[in-house]
Amino acid sequence: MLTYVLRRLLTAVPVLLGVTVINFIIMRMAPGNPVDMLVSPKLPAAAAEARRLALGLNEPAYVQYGLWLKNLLLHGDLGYSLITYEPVTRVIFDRMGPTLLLMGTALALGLLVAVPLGVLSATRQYSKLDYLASTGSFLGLSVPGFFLGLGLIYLFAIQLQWLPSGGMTELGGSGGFVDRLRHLILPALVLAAAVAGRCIRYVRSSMLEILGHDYLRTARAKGVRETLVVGRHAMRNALIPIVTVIGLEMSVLLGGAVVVEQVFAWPGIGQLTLSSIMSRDYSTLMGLNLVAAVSVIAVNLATDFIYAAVDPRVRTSYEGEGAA
Amino acid sequence: MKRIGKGALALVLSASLALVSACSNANAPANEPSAEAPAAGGAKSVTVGVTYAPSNINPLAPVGLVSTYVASLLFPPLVDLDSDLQYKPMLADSIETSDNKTFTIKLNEKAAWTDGKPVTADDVIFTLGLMTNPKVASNLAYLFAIIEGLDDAGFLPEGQSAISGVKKVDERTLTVTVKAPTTLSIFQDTIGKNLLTLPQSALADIAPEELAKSDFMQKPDVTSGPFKLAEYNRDQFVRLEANDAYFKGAPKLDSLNFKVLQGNAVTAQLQSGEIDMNIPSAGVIPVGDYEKVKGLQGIRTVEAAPLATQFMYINEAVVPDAKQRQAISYAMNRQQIVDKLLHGAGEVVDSYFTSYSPYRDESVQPAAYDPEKAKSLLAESGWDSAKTLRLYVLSGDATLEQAANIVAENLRAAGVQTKIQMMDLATLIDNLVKMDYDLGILTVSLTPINPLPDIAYFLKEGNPSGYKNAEAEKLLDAIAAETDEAKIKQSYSDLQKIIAQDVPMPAIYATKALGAVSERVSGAEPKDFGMFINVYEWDVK
Repeated sequence: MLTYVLRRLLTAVPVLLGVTVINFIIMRMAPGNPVDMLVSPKLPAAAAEARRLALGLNEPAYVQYGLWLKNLLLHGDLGYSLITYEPVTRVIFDRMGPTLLLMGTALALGLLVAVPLGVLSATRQYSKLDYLASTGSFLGLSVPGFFLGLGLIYLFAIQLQWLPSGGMTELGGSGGFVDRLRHLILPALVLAAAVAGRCIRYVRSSMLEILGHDYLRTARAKGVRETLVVGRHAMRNALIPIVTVIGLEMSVLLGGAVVVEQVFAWPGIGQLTLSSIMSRDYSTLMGLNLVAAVSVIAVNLATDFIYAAVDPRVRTSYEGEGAA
Repeated sequence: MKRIGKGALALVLSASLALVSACSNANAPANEPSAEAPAAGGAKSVTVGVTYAPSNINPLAPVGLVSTYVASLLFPPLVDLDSDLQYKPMLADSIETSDNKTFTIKLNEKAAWTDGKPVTADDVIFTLGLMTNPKVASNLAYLFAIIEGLDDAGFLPEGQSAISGVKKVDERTLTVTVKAPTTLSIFQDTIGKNLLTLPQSALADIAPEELAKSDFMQKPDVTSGPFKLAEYNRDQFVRLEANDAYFKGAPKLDSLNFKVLQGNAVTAQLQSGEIDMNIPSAGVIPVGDYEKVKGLQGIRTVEAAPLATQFMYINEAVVPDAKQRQAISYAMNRQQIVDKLLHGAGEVVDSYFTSYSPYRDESVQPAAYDPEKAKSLLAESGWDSAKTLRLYVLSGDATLEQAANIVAENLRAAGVQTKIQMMDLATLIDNLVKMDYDLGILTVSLTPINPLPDIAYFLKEGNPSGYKNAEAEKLLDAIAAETDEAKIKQSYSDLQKIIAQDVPMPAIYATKALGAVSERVSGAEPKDFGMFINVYEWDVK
């Protein structure tokens, strides 16, 4: 197992390096540059030159990349934003919290709805509840996040005035738990609807497959109560593939968060990414891409471990590899 | 969702936003604690909605309009331009000159930093030194190039430690000598408005190249303006608290907030009471919402002066003949755009001077809509109507995108085929600067007092159209060297006649932004220039 982990971690290094190189090249190939956004073209060439010099953009591209990599490896430093001069690590760290809070709440909320509903609709296949759950899941899947978001804003923020229309805290307010919760409800609901929509279908089909297995018939024949058959014997096995789905769900959630953060002015990574792209803030974008790549790899790794932990068959196969 | 094109997405988005804001009712915003009832402790607070993020608050190199507004509230400029286009005293009590060469700046006697120290001539000179230091690389330095002792980009040449044109007279007085005689209004428009004085005592130990990254510039804690910085989250909001020691008087408000909003949210949040007012050109209300905002209860609206102008950039390598460019100008139905698309909230303009500009020559009328004339001009010039021109348009502004479609249709009717391509600002500017375009539509706001730097850029060598006219260049040089306002006006007049003939980059229309303010706020007027001059007198009911 340990060898397996080490091997996975080692293969992650060239992947990450490759991601940063590709990002660097694509960013430089994109039209426009940060100096044009900061220094109006009507200014004397010397003004743009001074800014280019101050930002280190006068060096050849490979030198700039080398410097970036050196600072990252030796000091863990991602440099400064070309636009605001804030340290990139701090900017990303500040924005990571709100995004994780939003994603985490949405994931938890989505699963809380999806797992029971999925299981119930599988055990009562073709019942009214099953149809209701399937229809609901289709709705959750197909209604675009921004549309649902705007609808909720209209209803709860403008018409009923129960909840704020955006932001994370009240301006000049306490910023306490209740305040945050009020701001979190709507954006989390929008993301959770999509999560639940996707997961209900996975849980349901996975359950249906398991329910047909012989060992459950055996259990029933032995006189085990139906709730126990479903709850202990069937669900445990049915949820194993869901672990993988959750892993995949993370990157989809991150993408969804970009849109939802825009609609609700949620101060997270998504909003930062868009504004950095618009202003061609190379160093912030490099940092953001690196963080995204690391999280995807980390989540994949974590998924594999959890998979191994819940499924003995998988564990044995890892051990086999390790021994070889 | 992937398959929906960007344009369609934007359309659906704006349609649904319109839906959100269209559904008004009599719901008083009583449940909104931030707006109706003052916040806890009876604090008086006003929230201003803006649609651009204050990306930084570095007074030496502000990024965008809102950054400048916020920085100026913390560090007042020497003088500030009001909406009547007159300069009002701020940190400087007066700026005077007798020979248009040496300008005497007298600072307000009461001006003090929040740490108790007085604001002195040394602080001003220190800030001038930072502004013109190439290591600080300020994007405003070029405005200071008129000062004696600085190079053409406004930087202090290497090896020199002091600007020869700047002299301290006493603790509160200094003189600035310029290279060539210039008018007081140009001095005020460059140095007077753009030098936001910084505290020497707080910054003396920071190396110039480290300044922008310093904690001070990220969150200034020694300031002199009517408000102090309390909280700053660059894509979300800025919260300012009253500086009771402000030299013009303690503000009546306890706090002033800027809230960053997505375009269409301005209307919704005015309605819900989450914001109290906007800044017309920096908290843009979409044209489609104007009627709705004007009808909101408890909200007063103000039509701002026409400022933001849409220009048609023309690459002369592709459209070399002045007749062809005239044809493009005649082919555009500007009046229809203003009447139907802007519902009258704008004006027809075809050059650099809107009706707000003191230099506009009323005898030079904008090119009228005349498709027949356009056709005959094109025929005379031998235009190949089979040729298709690339028309690059700035994306993100729904009104501009629709106007571009009308323009493309107008051009097609006259015999100029175009293919519209939307692009973001960075990409569009890149293409314009490299002259890798045929036609381009971009919004430009020219400063009304001193439009020379912009116009010189558009007409002189190195301009993005490839335009060249020796006579125009001579006029521009004459304007730069002149100190007599009447003669300057005459030269601008002559220039407008040349532009009408050559049509290097015709304007299409200028928008009149809408300002809105809640009736609970007194003393405040939404306007693009001078909105915050009297901010210390603002109050809430």
